[in-house]
Amino acid sequence: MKRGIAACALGATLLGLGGCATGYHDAGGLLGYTGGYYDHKGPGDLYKVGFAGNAFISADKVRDYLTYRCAEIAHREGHNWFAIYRNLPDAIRDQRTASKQVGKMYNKPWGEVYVLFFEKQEDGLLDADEVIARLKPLIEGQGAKS
Amino acid sequence: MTRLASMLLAGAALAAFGGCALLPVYQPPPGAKTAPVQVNLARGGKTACVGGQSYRLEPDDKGNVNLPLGERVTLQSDFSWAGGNMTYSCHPATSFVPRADQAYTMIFEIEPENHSCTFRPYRQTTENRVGLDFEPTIGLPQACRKP
Repeated sequence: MKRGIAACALGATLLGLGGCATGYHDAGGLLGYTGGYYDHKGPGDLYKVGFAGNAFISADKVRDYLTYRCAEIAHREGHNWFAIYRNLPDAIRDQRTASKQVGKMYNKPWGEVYVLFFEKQEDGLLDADEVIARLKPLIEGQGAKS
Repeated sequence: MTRLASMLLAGAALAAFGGCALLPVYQPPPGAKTAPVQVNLARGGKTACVGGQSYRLEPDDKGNVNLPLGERVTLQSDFSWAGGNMTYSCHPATSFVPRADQAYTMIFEIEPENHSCTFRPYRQTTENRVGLDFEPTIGLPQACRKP
């Protein structure tokens, strides 16, 4: 009987935690506690953009949130075309990527990229309008608070 | 009980400072030729090994520290962050040789793909939109003694 109660309690706990995956929101400077996105300008014309997840969010979702945040910043800065670089050496070599393959830090998905904005379409650039239109249902489905 | 509390407090203080705050702040010798190194874009506390001695780096109001020309210096970032009920830390270090008429920027990067962090110097340049270029003298961190 006691074992049954313990199993039920464990199940309820897991269900509860399953609803705690990091949502789309500002990390607010406390990366580890809440997770979320963060960004800052520099070096040069680059923006560094990151998204830290907790143990209950998938790496694929963190990748999508990160890409969406890059598109939001492009709009905020008055641009529609942007390049994503996996790291600074790639940015210096201008080796663009479509999205970041998100890895895990201590079992938590975490992605950081560099972003550069452009006035016109070029090879390897992402379209902020298209990214936002494609990923907005995912963001809104998570009850985002940005 | 009081002694136990004191020991716990001392332990907490040492853990918080990580020994870094106990190091002297690096100041170049008077008249020494130096290169500016921007360190304020990198996360965490910064320390340096110059002439085999460990120092703490305190950037000026532009985010720069001045390091001596022509000798290999090691720079380290001490970054930690909290996650749930755990604290994680990363202490990447690298060395390079500052040159005259050249400014540098230290960049800290988290590389979850490799479960690691990096802390690397780049040369400041006006030749590209990134404003930085590769530093050719990058090397392994050097062994260093604490005062």
